[in-house]
Amino acid sequence: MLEIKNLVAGLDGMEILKGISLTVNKGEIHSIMGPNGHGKSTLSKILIGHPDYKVISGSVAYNGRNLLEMPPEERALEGIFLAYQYPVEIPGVNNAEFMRMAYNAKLKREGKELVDALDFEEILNAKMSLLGIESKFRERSVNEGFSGGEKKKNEILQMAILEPRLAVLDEIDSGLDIDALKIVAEGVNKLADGNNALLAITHYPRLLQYIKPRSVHVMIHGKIVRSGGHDLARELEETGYDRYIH
Amino acid sequence: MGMTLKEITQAWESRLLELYGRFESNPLLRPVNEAAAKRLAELGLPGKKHEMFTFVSLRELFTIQFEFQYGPEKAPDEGQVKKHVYPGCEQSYIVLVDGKFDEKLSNVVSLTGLITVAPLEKGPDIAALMDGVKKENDIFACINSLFLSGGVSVEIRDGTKLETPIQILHLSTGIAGKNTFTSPRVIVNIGSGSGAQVVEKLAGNPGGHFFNAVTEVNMKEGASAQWSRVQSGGAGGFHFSKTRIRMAKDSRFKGVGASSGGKVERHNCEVRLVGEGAELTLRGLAVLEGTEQAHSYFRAYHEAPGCSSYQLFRNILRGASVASVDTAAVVRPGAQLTVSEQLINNLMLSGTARADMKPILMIHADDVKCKHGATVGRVDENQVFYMRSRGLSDAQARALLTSGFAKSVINEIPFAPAAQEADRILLRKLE
Repeated sequence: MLEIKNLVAGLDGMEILKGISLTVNKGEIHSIMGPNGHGKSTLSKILIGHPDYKVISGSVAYNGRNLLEMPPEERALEGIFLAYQYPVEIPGVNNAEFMRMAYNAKLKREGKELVDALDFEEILNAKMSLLGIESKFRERSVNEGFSGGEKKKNEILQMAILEPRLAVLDEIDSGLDIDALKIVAEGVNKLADGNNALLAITHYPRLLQYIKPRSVHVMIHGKIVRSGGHDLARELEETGYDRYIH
Repeated sequence: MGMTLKEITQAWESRLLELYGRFESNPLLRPVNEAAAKRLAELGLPGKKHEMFTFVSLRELFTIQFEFQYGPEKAPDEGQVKKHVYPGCEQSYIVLVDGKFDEKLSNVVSLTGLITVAPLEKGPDIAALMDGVKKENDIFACINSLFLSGGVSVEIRDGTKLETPIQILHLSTGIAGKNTFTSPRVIVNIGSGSGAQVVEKLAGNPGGHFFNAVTEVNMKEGASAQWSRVQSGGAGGFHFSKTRIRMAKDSRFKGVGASSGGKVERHNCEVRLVGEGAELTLRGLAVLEGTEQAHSYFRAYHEAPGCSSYQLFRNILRGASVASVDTAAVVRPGAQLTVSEQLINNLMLSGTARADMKPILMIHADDVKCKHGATVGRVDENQVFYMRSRGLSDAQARALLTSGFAKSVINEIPFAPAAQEADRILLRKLE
């Protein structure tokens, strides 16, 4: 599904990713772990196509297509979803209406009939009760005045609505209390149905108690320095990242 | 060689006086016209540096030779009126055709016994009109009085809470091949403890027309009013208006205006909070494109203690459009415990549009809470990107953000059908 080869990329002329290779197949959950400031979020921004981040060399293929040539909305419509570390507040734009537009954009791409506000309300209500999300999320402006935890829940709600093929979760667990973390993890697990893939970027191994990745990769100084199974996460919890940083 | 602004202004003034020289006055209003002529001579037409017109370019207006429009060439029929009547106002609308009250075309059946609607010259306000002219400081309001020949006076009796909204419909018909101007005047007196919802609509407004209105609202003790105003169409016209509001003790006024622009649009709103505990809320939105201009000039005079005034103005500018907001809260000595908030936000959708802002506080009391702020900005690219990363196109994301900016004002328009109309017209303009 996703094949990253020797990816070198950065921001403002600064090289942050220094040769990343990673393959994620359908049905797999991968986790990228590492200390802050070592390129984890840069990778997520590159995958979604943020214009500030530039690819210097290497390639990223997504379902056989050159991902790097696709504009961000095209990536989204092809099933890539980024749950942001810092979701953006959008005053004046109703959260439910925004999600309906995003949902309709996806339906349009799939050649399906679009939903009106009433039909969408049912879809939204179902997802909200599934995730235990309060109804105020529907009425408010996108992320405006949301607490850190609420913003993360809203990301997961959007993910549940859009049912992506590849979800990239950027520090979805940061700023969450344990109850919110469980809700988020539950949402993620409900999504993982064998047809989709997940890339969970996290600093803390805590999330991985709830989401069981097939592979764990340690990213240091813009490189994957070690890959392993789920037990690597446990090991990192005990030893930390210090032994990898030179 | 072209004429200087000064020469253009002088020529326009001479033309105005010449028109006044052969003006066919309404005898009952002649004293008002005469007082206005005197006041006009004192004030003179504004030059470039006039404090009230710092941001307003009058050059284009002053280059046009206007004719005063006494009435329509062909009287509008009921059908032409009814298509502009809002749902819910079918039996409560007042029509002014080219500035003059048209009793036959109006219908206030549902308000019988609750309000009195009379032609201005037969109403109780002539003395107040004279007084107003002598103190007038706005030259265009003065010109309105100079050519005042009709209008309407609305009296809402004491202790009357109107359940039906009142629509005031201004129809401008124009004269083919001519640039015309009109002098509409509306006076609304709201009785003690009374409440009313008023919605104003400007329709017709042919290109090159100069609509120069004055509206006066007198709020007695404990009165409340919710006022909606939608200005749509007439993109090639000049829309000038002055609203003068006097607020007695514990009265409340909320006015929300949405404008889709015009060649030059200017609104002057002067509010006197003269009784303790009066509360004023004003909201304005203009969506402009091309070379359209919209200018707001607002003054809230806090003359009694414990009054509040809240103002929010938002402009969305495309093309080479120009907007300005000049707003001041003046707190007179003794007006303690005043609360005043002014906020101006401009959303610039092009590099050639221009927005000028001047929020001012003049405070002569020491125990007050006053604040003001102003912003000029573009669409936030982070917000655009966030939406695109959810599958919305770049254009969809920008449109949604822009309409979100407008909706915060549109959603506050008290009269729902007017809000829907503003939503439709203004947001279509943004597409």
